[in-house]
Amino acid sequence: MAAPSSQPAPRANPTVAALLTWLVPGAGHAYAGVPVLGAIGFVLVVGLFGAGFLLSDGRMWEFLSAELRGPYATLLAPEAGSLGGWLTIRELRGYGPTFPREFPGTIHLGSMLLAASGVLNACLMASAHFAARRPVEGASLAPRIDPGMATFCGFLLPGLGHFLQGRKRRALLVGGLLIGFFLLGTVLAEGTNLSRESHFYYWSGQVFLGLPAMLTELALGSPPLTGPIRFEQVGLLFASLAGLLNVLAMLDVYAWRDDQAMGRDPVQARRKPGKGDSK
Amino acid sequence: MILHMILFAIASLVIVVMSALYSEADDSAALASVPRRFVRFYGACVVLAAIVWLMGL
Repeated sequence: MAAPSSQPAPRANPTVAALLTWLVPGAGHAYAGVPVLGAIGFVLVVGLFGAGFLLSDGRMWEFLSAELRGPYATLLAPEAGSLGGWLTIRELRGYGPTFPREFPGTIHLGSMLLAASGVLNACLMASAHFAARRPVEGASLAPRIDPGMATFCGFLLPGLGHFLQGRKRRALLVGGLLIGFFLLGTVLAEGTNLSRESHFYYWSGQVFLGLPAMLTELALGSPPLTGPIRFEQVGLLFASLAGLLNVLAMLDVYAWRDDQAMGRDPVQARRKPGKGDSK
Repeated sequence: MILHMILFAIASLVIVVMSALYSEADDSAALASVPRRFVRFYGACVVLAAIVWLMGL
């Protein structure tokens, strides 16, 4: 790749664009001068959030064991990726009443959609940050997929973001490794890892595995405890770790596209100075 | 004990492969660095576990 030319002036402040999107989905794109992409992002994030809110009756924070209902617990939930959505839940429902009551049957699906809306908005923030800058002249822009959307595809199915970037070997490696690790964890925990209500923090980690985790939860539900599970803690750790490691894979997808657009060689950009110089 | 070490080795391998892929964008170079990274990571964890065990924690 040709040496990068001088960095052009940004369209807008990238940090402001990202923060605006955190508060209102799409606002960062509008600020950066790409309102159509912002409007699409707004519809997608708010649509997912609205569907999740309706299906869960807005009671996803009530759907936690009592000891987890602390003031900061939900900041670690995926829905915190959208501050606007997070504030909406806090103002309209919060942790709910202190007495127990029956949850709607669709609360699992609703919780997943809300989590997906948070992750999508976080990817939209990355996209807004990218949109606020200008690619350098002559930089490789193929394939022309928005880095935020490629990252979200990597969330939906581990490896998909890499695949869309043409990195097929890495896509297979990431997808196979992480989905296999998650399934091994689910087997070891005998499916108890799939309960947001019982294992909120572990669940919040594993939901970053996207559709494989969500579909497994929808298929298996929350199996009843019939006795002690020998490897429950190991299984919880494996499943949660699989999701968190997918965040690393998502960052890899974003960084690749960002390096390309900014005129850097994605391979050389990540090497420490001096390493690989002789090649 | 051996079973736990095997399970930890599985988790370590996944962590190490993903960290190698993140820090090295070239697939061949990333995979080539996995054995060295795995030995370093697993070895350091064993040393840490041994220290904790010796301290009686």
